[in-house]
Formats: sequence, structure tokens, C-alpha cells
Amino acid sequence: MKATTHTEVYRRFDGELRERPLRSVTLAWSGIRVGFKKKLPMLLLFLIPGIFTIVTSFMVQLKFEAEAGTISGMAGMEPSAQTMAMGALLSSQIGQVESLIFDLITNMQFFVVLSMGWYGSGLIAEDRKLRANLLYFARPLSRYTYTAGKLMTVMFWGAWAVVAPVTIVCSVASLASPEWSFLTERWDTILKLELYAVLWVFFHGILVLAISSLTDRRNRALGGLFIFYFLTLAGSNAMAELMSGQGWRLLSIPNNFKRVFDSLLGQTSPGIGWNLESSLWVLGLLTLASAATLARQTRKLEVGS
Amino acid sequence: MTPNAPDGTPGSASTTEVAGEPEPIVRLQGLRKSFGNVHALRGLDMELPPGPVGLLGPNGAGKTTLIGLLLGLLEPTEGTAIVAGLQPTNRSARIEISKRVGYMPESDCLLPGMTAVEIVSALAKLTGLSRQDAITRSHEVLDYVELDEARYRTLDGYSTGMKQRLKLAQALVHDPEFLLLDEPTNGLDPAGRRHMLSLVEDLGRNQNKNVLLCSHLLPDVERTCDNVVVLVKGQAILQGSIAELTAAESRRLRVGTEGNASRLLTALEAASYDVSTDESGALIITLPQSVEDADEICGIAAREQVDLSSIDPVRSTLEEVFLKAVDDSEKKTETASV
Repeated sequence: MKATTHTEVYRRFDGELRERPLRSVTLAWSGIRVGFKKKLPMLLLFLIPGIFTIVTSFMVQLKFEAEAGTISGMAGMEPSAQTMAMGALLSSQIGQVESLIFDLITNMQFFVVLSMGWYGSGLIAEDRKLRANLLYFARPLSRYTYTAGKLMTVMFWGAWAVVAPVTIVCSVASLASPEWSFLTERWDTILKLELYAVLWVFFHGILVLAISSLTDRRNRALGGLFIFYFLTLAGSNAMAELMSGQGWRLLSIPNNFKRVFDSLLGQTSPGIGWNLESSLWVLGLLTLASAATLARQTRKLEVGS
Repeated sequence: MTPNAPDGTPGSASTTEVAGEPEPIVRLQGLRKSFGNVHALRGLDMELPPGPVGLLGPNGAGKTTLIGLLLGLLEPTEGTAIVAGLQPTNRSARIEISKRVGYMPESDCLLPGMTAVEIVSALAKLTGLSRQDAITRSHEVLDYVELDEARYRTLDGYSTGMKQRLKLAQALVHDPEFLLLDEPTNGLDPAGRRHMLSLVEDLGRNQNKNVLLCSHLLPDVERTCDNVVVLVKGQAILQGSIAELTAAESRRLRVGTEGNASRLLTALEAASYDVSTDESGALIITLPQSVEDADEICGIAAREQVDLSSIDPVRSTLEEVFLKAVDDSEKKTETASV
């Protein structure tokens, strides 16, 4: 006997359920797809990083052409003393390629926080609000897989704002340099830049998710992130000025990352006079606190107390 | 897939029949759950047979808490819950159970911004289906719940009925043997409710799914289920086959008369019968313990010169059974507190 008000026949599933090690990727891809559907925020958040990337790529290209004396318009001509001099002048004005990339990465950091906050704040908060965790954890899914999936989603958006630009500019530099010299001679700098970008994205990914897991409203999570982030930044800088003590700057996440950046890439930034270990401790403790918060909150989602 | 023993470790527990008796799909032993001072479940001992079972109870009775415990989404304060031979005491057992159970939550848990196909196929992949199977299967279950072209639209424009059917589809996507449906007709208009009930009925009666239908709507359970459990204040106050619970009672009779019903009513009351009338004017008579059958009623009617047109045993509705059980439970509680 068939039920009276529907006409479709139920079909049995004769396939098998497998252990899928990449369940977190499935979860991440779902979140990423939802993000791609919102075109306007994507345009607003990634337009400026995109412009920065294009401009920096152009300047890197110009730098190598200037060094080689083959600036556009002069290609095909024998480099004369005049063009060589112009090239040297232009080259010195543009600065070192590394400096250009360092500037890019520094300028991108704000956009990384913005885009990760925008896309990541709702990832757990919305699940809590809608109780979507019931759908996830009624399936063969652990909270670790769940967290990994959410982390991949938020890191994806962060990567677009900093890892991708760095990769693009380094690729342009490698292609534009004579005989790939930028890649062969500065590969360690490229790796360090990528490592720094990934560290930045990973740290902020965990922070965004931890804040998101504490509330069931996306807007609150977003507000909480920016309040925490900018209050510590402004507060630490203000206290450092008022108390004439650089130690206060350790309270700010960007300042600590700046210290790591300086150590990693052999730079010296003004106003950063503390040792690397202090910054690593601060960032490590913040990462641990965020991870502990995430573990506690996702356990509540997986198995209610 | 090797079923686990009741302690959650791999073992020999199974859902096979033992000595002709079907193995219960759910077995609860002294199950208690408290949230601080609030006692949501107060020591449940019961076995749910295979097939469609209704879990009835007023709001706050502990129905959703029980479902959470069966899925391992909540940890019991005390006691055990065994689902399809498995006890959700640890993550691996919970994960094993989730492969065999489909859950349709009560809450509006679907994430906006995704289409029905995307949601169902993503959840299918999370359950363990391959990419190809997930897509094929998603379309099959979406066909079954009759989400036609709407499956390619994002959820933002979905009606409540469509969302409920989508939730049912995701619960069915891995073809589980046991379905936990939490208030599937919540918020639906009459047409949507009829549609949902026809799906549940089909799954339970024709597709041989074990269904636990959690509802506070008695007609829903009466229509779709063979067995029922009534939960009130965290306790099972009634459990059994709906057919048996609502079976005609030999001592309650519906007596039709051809005029002079009031005279017969007065005479019966004088003879210590419990008598009332229904909406059609027929008499509903409960025979006293001293009376063996309806012959005495015929005798009284003859003495009063009232012609009888019919005498039928009265069949209780599930609502009457439910209300009586709730009343009895409240009386017991009052007596205990006094």
C-alpha cells in the first residue's frame, strides 16, 4: 500500500558507508561555497588586497626590468649608458623587491583580520543559533573533524587576503628575475614569507573561531573580535606611550607578530625592543587559550552536558 | 559493520530476533537525565519494539532529551540507553550508531545560503557516502519528499513545509534502519501536515523502517504508529500497542434508543450505572462490577418500555487513553506528595 498524498517511491541505498578521512574538507567546502555566494562582501573585502597585489606585482616587474635596463618601451634596443642610468635610478627608488613584499604583507594584515572576521564569525555562532550541530553530530563526525572543517573554512578566506598575494608577487618576482634568480637565490625568504603568512592566518583562524563559539549571534562574534583586537592594539600602544614602557606593546597581537616577522626576516622595526621569546609566549598562550575555548565549546555542541 | 555490545565495545549484540520475539530497537534501563535541579528524565525502563513507535507527551515531558540520549548527543546522569544493540557511551559507539540512525531535529537547523541538493549531499558525504553516491542519493531522497525544482534554490525562500521535508530527506539520505523524528509536523499547515504524515506512514508501514515519532499531537501518532509510549514529567506512564490500548472495552457500551432515552438514563442511574450521553444522544454506559453483561440493560429498557436500536462496545480514542493516563499519573503524584 502506498501513502495517499505523495507519489514518489522510496528507493533503498545499496552502497556502503565508508570511513572518509577528509570529512573536514567536505565541511570546509560547504562553508566556502556559502561564502562565494555573497558577492558584494567578497568584492569589498578583496578589492583592496587585489589592487595592492597587482600594484606590487607591477612594481616588482618594473624593478627587475629597471635593473636589466629593459624597461617597457626600451625593449629590443641596446641598453645605452643613459638608459642604464635611468634604470639604476628607478631601481633605487623602487627599493628592494623584498621590501616591496614586506610592505605588501604588512598592509594586508588588516584585511586578513577583516575578511577572516567577516567570514569566520558566524561559522560556529550560526550553528549554535540554528542548532545545526544536531545535524552534524548525529552523523559519524567528531568535534575534532568539525573544528578542523571550520578552521579550514576561515583559513581559506584569510589565505586569499595574504597567502595568495604573497605567492602571486613572489611568483612574479621569480618570473621577472633573470634566470629565476629570485627563486633560486631568495627561496629561503620566500619560504619564510609564506610561513609567516600561514602563521598569521592560522592564529587568527583559531581566535575567530574561539570567539564565534562563545556566542550564538554572528554580529556579536564579529563585534567581539574587533573590540578585542583593536582595544588591545590601541590600549597597548597608548599604555606604552603613557608609561614609557615597551613591555605594554606585548599586549597587542599585531605588535607581537611584528616582532616575529622581524626575527624571521632579519628586519628591525622602530618601537619593538623586546625579545622574541616574549612574543612567542604571548602568541602561544593566546593560541592555547583559543584552542581550549574551542575544545570546551565544541564538546558542548557534540555532547550536551 | 560489527555491532557493539551494550557496553559500547565490539561484541555480539545484534538486532536479530530471539526465539521469535523481535529484538527491541531501543532498550532503556533506569535512564535518568538531570540539568542541574531540573530532572528531565526520572528513571526510564522500557523497550521499544521495531516498527513505528510514537513518543507522546506534553511540552517539557522529556521527549527531546530522550532523543538526545539515544543519539549520544547528551550524556545520561544515570542508567543506560541501548540503540540497535549499541550503547552511545563513547565516541566510537556514538559514531557507529549514527550510521544506523537518521535524525530529523525539531529545530530549524538548516544553514541558509545553501540549496537543498548541496545540504543533503554534503551531509551524505559527512555520513560516509562517496561523492557520486551522495549526489545520486540526494536526488533520490529529494524526489521522495517531493522537493522538485526547489532543490536548486537556496533555503531563503523555503516554506516551513519544505524545510521540514528537507530535514526528513537529510535523515533518510544514508537509508538508516532507525529514524528519530522530532516533531516533524511542527508549524505545518493542514496540507503540509497531511503530506508529512503520509511520508512518515509510508516509511514506517511500507518501507519497514523503525521509526520513533516524537510528538505532542495524538492524531499524528495514532495515524502513523503501531505502538506508543507516553512520557509525562520524565516518566513513561503508558506504553503499548495502540490497537490494544484503544481496544473496545467490554464493560463500556454505547446504547442507541428510539425515543425516551432520558427515561432509560434515569432508570439506569437509579440502578447505579455510570451513564452519560454522546453528541448523537446515544447513552454511554459503564457496567457496574456486579453486572455481567448487557442483558440487564435490556431488562431495564423493557421495564421502562424503551425500544433499543443498538448496543455496541465503546472503543477509546488514543486521546482518551492519553488523558486518562495523565490524570492517573497526576493523582498518583498528588497522593505521593500528601
